[in-house]
Amino acid sequence: MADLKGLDVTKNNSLGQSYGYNEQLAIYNHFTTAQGSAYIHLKTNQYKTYNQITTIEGTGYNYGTGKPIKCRWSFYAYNNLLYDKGTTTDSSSGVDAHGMYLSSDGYAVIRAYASSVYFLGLMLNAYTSGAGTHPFGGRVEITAVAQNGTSGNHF
Amino acid sequence: MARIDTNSFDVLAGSSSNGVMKRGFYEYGSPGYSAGRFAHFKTNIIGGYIMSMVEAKGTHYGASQFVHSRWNFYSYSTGVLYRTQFQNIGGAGGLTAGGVYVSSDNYVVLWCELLSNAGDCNFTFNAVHPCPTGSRFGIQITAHTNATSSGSQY
Repeated sequence: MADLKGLDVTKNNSLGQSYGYNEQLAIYNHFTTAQGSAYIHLKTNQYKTYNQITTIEGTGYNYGTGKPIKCRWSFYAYNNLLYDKGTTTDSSSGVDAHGMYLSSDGYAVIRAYASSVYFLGLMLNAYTSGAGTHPFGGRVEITAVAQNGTSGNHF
Repeated sequence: MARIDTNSFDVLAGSSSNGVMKRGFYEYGSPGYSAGRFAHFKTNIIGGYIMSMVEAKGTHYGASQFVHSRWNFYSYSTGVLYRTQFQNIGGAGGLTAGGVYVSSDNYVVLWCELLSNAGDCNFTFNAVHPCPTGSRFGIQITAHTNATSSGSQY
């Protein structure tokens, strides 16, 4: 059995151009033993001019709610804006994909919510893609995290 | 194209205190048309204060359904389970029910009910151990059997 520290699965298009997709597994693991409900703000390295279409997937186990986690955020940081391309939360998910925003310094932030975060284990995967000349291969990283009662912007 | 030629692999996140995502750590293939449609999977978890999410992904060809189901549970002290749950994801119907129990020798056992015994039901197990207790646990399936009920088989 192989042990890997994160894993990227990249596919260029047949012409070798810069668009395709990149699947990035286990980019970040947020866990906490705090009690009660909370919003979790996860700041990414996706700058407002980064020009990459990104989906971040939450998986894992939220012991506090007793449920597995299945939710997604999709966005496009481009032209100094964050295009919100939607969130989905499975009906049985222990964490909600609550929203997203641009931080005051111009980076995409995704926001999660859980009615209880007691022994929460949230693992993130990322899927990037592009179209036309848009790049896709940049690694998605979580650069800062805050857990609090703020349902709006934190960063 | 790169190929990872291994039966399974672990994807580690962060530092040693962070979690692990296990891919393909066990594969199930239904044994035949007459097999009981309740499958039981004995794990290597015994107590240990381990929080687990286990996932099955595959195809129930005989029932024309896909399989995407998850179990979660907290194996607390020996013989004690908390917060067990089985759920289908995204409209999957290959498995209709599932659960978790402790074997007579105190190991955690997962069970599921296949939609039918029409055969050709195959799925792969993944798991995530991302929580503050039990992170990076190396889960294994040590035995499995098909039965005619969800009652304890081990």
